[in-house]
Amino acid sequence: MTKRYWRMLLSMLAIVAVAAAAVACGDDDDNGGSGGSGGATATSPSGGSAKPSGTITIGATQFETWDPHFSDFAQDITHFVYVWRGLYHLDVNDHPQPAMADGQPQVSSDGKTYTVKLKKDLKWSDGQPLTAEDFVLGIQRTCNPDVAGHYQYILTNIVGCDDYYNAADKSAAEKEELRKKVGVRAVDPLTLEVKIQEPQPTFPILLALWPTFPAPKHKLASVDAPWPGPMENVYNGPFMPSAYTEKASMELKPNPNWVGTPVGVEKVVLKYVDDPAVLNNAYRTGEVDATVANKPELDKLKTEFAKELQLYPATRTIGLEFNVTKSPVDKPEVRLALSQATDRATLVKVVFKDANTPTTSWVPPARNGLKGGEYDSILGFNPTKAKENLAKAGYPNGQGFPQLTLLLVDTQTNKLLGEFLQAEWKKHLGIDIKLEFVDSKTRSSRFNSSDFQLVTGGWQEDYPDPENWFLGLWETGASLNKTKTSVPALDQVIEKAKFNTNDEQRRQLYRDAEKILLQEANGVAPLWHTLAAFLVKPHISGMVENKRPGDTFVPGDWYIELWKTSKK
Amino acid sequence: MLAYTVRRVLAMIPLIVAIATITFVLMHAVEGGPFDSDKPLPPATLENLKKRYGLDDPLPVQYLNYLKNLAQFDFGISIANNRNITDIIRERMGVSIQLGIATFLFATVLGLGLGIFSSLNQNGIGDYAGVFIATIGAAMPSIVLAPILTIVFAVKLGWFNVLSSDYGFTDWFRGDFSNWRQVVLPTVALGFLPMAFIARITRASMLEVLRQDYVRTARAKGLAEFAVVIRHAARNAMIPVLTVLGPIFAGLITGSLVIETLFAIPGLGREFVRSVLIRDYGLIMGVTVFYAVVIAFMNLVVDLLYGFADPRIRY
Amino acid sequence: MAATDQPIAQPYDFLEQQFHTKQRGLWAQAWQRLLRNRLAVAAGVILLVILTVSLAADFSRTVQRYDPTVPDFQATEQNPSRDHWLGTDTLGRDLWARLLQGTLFSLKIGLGTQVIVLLIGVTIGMAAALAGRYSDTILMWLTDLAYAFPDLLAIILLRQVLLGRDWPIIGEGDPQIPGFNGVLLVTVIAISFVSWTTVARLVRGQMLSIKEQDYVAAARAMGASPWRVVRVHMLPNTLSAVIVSATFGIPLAIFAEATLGFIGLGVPPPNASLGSLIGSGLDSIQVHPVQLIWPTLMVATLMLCFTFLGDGLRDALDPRTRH
Repeated sequence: MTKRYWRMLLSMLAIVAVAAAAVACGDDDDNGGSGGSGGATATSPSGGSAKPSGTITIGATQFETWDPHFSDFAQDITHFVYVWRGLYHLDVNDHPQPAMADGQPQVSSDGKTYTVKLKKDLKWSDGQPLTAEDFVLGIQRTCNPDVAGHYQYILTNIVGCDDYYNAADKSAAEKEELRKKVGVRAVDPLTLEVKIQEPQPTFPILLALWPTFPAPKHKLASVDAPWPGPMENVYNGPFMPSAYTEKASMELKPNPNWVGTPVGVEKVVLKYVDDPAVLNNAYRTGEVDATVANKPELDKLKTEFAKELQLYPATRTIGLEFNVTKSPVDKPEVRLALSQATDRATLVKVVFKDANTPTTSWVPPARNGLKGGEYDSILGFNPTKAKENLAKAGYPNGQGFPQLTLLLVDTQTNKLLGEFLQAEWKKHLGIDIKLEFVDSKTRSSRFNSSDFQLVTGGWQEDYPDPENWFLGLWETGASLNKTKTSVPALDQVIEKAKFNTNDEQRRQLYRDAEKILLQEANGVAPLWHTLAAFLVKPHISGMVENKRPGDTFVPGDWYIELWKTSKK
Repeated sequence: MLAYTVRRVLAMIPLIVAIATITFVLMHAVEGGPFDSDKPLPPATLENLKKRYGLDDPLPVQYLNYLKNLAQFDFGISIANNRNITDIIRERMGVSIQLGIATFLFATVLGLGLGIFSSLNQNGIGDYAGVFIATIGAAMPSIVLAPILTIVFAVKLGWFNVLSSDYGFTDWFRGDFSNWRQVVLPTVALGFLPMAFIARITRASMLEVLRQDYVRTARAKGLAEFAVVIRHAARNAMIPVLTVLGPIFAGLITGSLVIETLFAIPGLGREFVRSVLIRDYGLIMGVTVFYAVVIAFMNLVVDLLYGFADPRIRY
Repeated sequence: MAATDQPIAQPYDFLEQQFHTKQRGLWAQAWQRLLRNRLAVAAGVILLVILTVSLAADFSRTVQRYDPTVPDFQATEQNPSRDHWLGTDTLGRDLWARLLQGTLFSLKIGLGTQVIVLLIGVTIGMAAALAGRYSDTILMWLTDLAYAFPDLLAIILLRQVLLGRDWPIIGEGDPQIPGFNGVLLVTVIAISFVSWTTVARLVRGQMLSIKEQDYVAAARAMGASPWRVVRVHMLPNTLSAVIVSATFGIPLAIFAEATLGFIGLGVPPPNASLGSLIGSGLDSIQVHPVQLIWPTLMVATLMLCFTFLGDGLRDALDPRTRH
């Protein structure tokens, strides 16, 4: 980077800072006038500490697309919440709190109409007003078949969204007609109204996620217009890009028109690096201030960076996934035997260096309200029971056991994992399984077409609710049910829980569902919950972990505005 | 010469079409598509995505469409990030070319130097020392050499950077050398293997030339040793070296997956392998065709250069 | 002259014999020159030792000491000791056994690749040089095509298309070649596919220049069949260049395999190659470096030995370097 460039950047930052200060003052006046509705904009009593200072450089993963209404990649979502915000934002406990919205939504008595008031005088980063129309456009984009958003399915309850999304082959005029029928409209510039088909207790959470983020109407000629790139777009989040080189780095500066908690640093630099081992070396030299920890090195990191290493439970469960229509794993006894012949504690210790938590539960403790360990007696390590089960299935001591292939993605860790399982099952059950290593797309293709006997896989939560661990995953014939699991009792419980407005009852029903699911290891025998491991320099504060999918990259990705550094 | 050049350039066209065809067939024969993601996508989303990227047409139609666009130098849109593929290749290529040229200079200068030095001390200590230096770096695959260089020279000694995201020399021409800590390690790590190769060829070629009569004559008439080596021997020893420099250069500027990954350099090698792994069909085709053109073109340049270097060769 | 059952000597047989003597003389002289090159001899001996030990380990548990595929979770990541000469890996497998297993596999890849490269390269190069102008144009166009096709893409795609099928020999079906399983052969085929062009060009160039040599013209004038001319006079003279190129090609193929492991396209367990050992060693570079050190040393040794042997062979075989 040239010196001239630095000077230019500095002077630009100075101008921005002055402008930001000016705008901030104006906002304060406004807030004073409207009685300052508390929440995010409340300034700290200590007064003038709001001025952002310092730079934080973090190791990051290059995003795929910049379009929040299109993408489903975790690294993309991380970026989205740096620069955009929705009506609500999930707090550290994953409860939606007002962001662009002014207070919680008003829900009609039948639970099918949500009315949301926007904060006054919201602006995009270029100074243009941000109105309810922009939120309408955002939701319409997600439902737009030509955008083909990956996460449209979570908005399927919005009236007309599916009809529009399924109209890819229709004429432009017909699509336009269907677009207008999507149940979202701007009552006035400050009021958004969303109509849903069934009362959905988790709906407010969806208004905090990227598929419902606003789209700048003044930048997009129509709902089909291409989404502008990082440097051309406008933003309503705490930061906005100030420089970007694909696959190399992005620099973020504070957004002058941000209305939430004032940001703490004046610059965030994201360095895009593919290899976590490389990132950890960059952390050692101080080239990055925060990064994911390279898990194979964890033993060393625990002593090398004892105070800087942070481990958080991520909402992700991995286990043995069985195609229950394929022999021999169509027999419940075989599935149970395989699960009971797996010493999870040793597995996690040897293969993962304790970078994961052994489990027998499908839903992580953070989500189902249980302590964990409830299913140890059914699925946990027990070689005697495992042998009994295998004998019950008709293969005493593994005799006559048909060919069983475990399909894995070819990575170093998976090689260890596969060889571990192979050895364990040989030892405890006397069976020889075959390992097949393929690249990630081949694995996905086989899994998605249910062309497998046994894989290791699981679920990474989309949104913080137990329903996300069941809906579409385990019902007979559900679209994501690739293990072909089909248990009528499970179907019934999920159906009962789905739109249940009694929250406690609903959560209990999902606990019941988990029990039914795991009783015979239907489709899955959980092995571990993933831990997220990060390295964060001591001069950084405010990286608050809140277990969002985006947080697999840096803790507190969802709260970039809270980051601070004491290094000048 | 001109006619020859034109003929060769024209011969590239069927070559490119053949390569595009083979790639297209192989690419679609590989299991798994761009939308087979870890978390399965709902059927409606799959349909819409296929439609958005024109993958809902039958393969022959897609193929013809591709060739039609290729004729207009239009590579299409990347499935992974919706960007214009020509833009992606241009950006990545800029970095890879700079890495390639720097490495090429490093490998050539050092390789020639070591080769000539070794040949002048044949079977002496100097020879073994030269051969040793040239071979030791090349004896390790770059996947090991790069991390070791990083750990020793960046992490332990702190001389250089771990990350080389700003690799490039465009600023150097404006007098700004601030990224010098980023350019050394990747250049060295990538350059060792070609350097060793060039050194060995130079040494062998020099040894042969030094035995020739005209070198003996030059020495006999009392020319300074330096003049003999540089003017008479080295110049003639260059012809076999030249034949390997072309392919080495082409190999270097098309990017190195390993070095680009391990030093976080945003180059084309890394992009290309990723495109194959994620089945970004358009990008695979674009980069393959682009590489083919570069390599075929480099071949032509080498043949032409060969003609200049060795007057006996006629086209 | 009495009739004997001896066949009547043809006039050119005498000359032919002379050529043979000369030929044998050439090889013998080359061998002598090679023996005088201490570095090359040392390299050759080391290679022989490595090959012998790793082969022996494949047949005898005494040499191998442990089963390279059986983990021991009580003895993970140990450093070298009397029980485990080179230590153990992440799953507690003996690194000595693993190293020998990987070395043998990698040597098979290196040698196998060169066999296929020579088969394709020599055939195409020879055909191009000898079978007339049109074949030359077509074959050289093919060579250009294979050369301009990006190597890594070809390897990845071929491997993807070929691997894991139920086919015999190169797949998982029957029959199989003992010691050369499908995974190995697919890797060999994929790497050879991108490496044969150099040999083809080399052979063609050599053949074209030898074709014009006097002794070939003489043999032809004396009525030797074209095939005989090629077999007796031209191939042996091309061979020296080809042998040298193959010697250098072996370690390059081993490197290529290691790089494939780096992008997650390496040989799957229970196979182990030097590439896959390096791959798992890289993950342990900070915590248990011996896992990386042994396979790296082995690759480096192989690379150096083959290089020095190749240099020695070139000096010995190239008639122009005769002192």
